Amino acid sequence: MNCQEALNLLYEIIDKEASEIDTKQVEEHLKNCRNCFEIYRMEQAIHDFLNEKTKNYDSSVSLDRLKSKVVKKLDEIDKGESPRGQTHFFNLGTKMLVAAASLVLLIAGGFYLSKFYNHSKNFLPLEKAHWAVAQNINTFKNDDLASQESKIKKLFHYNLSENISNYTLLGGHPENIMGVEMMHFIYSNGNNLISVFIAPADKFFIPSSLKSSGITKDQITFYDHNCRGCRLVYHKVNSSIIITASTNHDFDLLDFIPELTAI
Amino acid sequence: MSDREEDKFLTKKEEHNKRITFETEALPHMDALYRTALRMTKNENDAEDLVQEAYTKAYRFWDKFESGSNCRAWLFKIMTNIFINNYRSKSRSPMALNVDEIDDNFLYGQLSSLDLEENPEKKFFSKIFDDDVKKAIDNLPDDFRVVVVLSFLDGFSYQEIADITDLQLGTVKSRLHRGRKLLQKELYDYAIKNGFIKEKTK
Repeated sequence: MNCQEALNLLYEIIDKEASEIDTKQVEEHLKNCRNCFEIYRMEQAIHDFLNEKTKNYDSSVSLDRLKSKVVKKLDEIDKGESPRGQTHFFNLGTKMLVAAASLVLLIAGGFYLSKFYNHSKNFLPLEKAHWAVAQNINTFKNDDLASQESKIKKLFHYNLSENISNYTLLGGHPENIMGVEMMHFIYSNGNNLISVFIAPADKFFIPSSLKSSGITKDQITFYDHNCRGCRLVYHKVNSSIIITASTNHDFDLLDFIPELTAI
Repeated sequence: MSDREEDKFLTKKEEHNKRITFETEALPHMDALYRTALRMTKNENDAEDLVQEAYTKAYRFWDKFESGSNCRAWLFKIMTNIFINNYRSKSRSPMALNVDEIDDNFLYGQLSSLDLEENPEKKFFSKIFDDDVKKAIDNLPDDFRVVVVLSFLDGFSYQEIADITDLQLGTVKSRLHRGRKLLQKELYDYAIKNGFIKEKTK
């Protein structure tokens, strides 16, 4: 390999994009060519320098504002608002048809839409909190479990079981969901996770849409919200509202009762 | 519930499911997207708009995304596409015209002729701060900057950059190469201007 050939491969080598054979040949060449070696050395140093400088860019910028803007946009799409700049896909006739159809849909579907508006308001935040943990358990920040348990006992008069069915208590932490400070505990059976949220009954309410559909079992009334993404079951014990959440629909959450003893 | 009502109900459930997978898979890349958008657009307002547009589009096309494939690269492709079509300045930067007059390994040529001590670049680098490098990147013509940013900031491979920008692999390599030359020249000129190094006497 001559100098020109070696230098032609310079950036591919530095970017680790060159083939093994090329890399070997260049290495051989650099052993014997002081000039090329110096060029490689300096280019590598420049590369490392730029890499290091650019890696730290803006990494401390807070994205909360942007994040909430994006979430709002997603909400708009979910609600089916006509997106800006897409209308030109339709000609006038279609537009009229679409308008007429939307009107019909709006009236006919009003009832259901309001139901789903309520869904995203009342259920989604809890589902998301559980989903985040179920997707990646590492996102779950585990606080001192014993102190959390005693806190629950004191605040909500509620005892937490270590084991329920074949599930074991993994950990817990406080979490603010829908503006309410609640406790979020995680149980696992090895491959499936169940979230248990414990919220103060004076701040958190069982959604009114569920009120008519309580299921009474073992003298406790459960309110079941079953959705494809996640299942939530609510019940009240003493001064707390307990919500269990699972993405596994085969498992019956009605059998999953953390603790019944009133203190 | 009638069958039709049931269908509608299920569609809504699917939408809800879509929202959750989107939030868990796509939203965590916002940091990287925003950082890159900042360097592409060079200002915070445009960068925020660009990221928002990218996410809006990605959400609309979420069913086209193959679950399990590279979500990050897919999002970057969408964002880069919007940037190239809507934000990139149409006029060719004068810098782009001069790039071929710059020697390869420009900085090496300059620094090694200064007869400084061993590793002359060390002294040179020590004077240059994050913001100076940022400015140098901002000064690159849009076409080069996109490729440089995707490579340096985001660590994408040549092939990934080609996929994201819809450019040929060869074009990616050549733009990256020329982008580097311009960066070296920028930083050198900056160092001369501020007296960090003295231009060699002719």
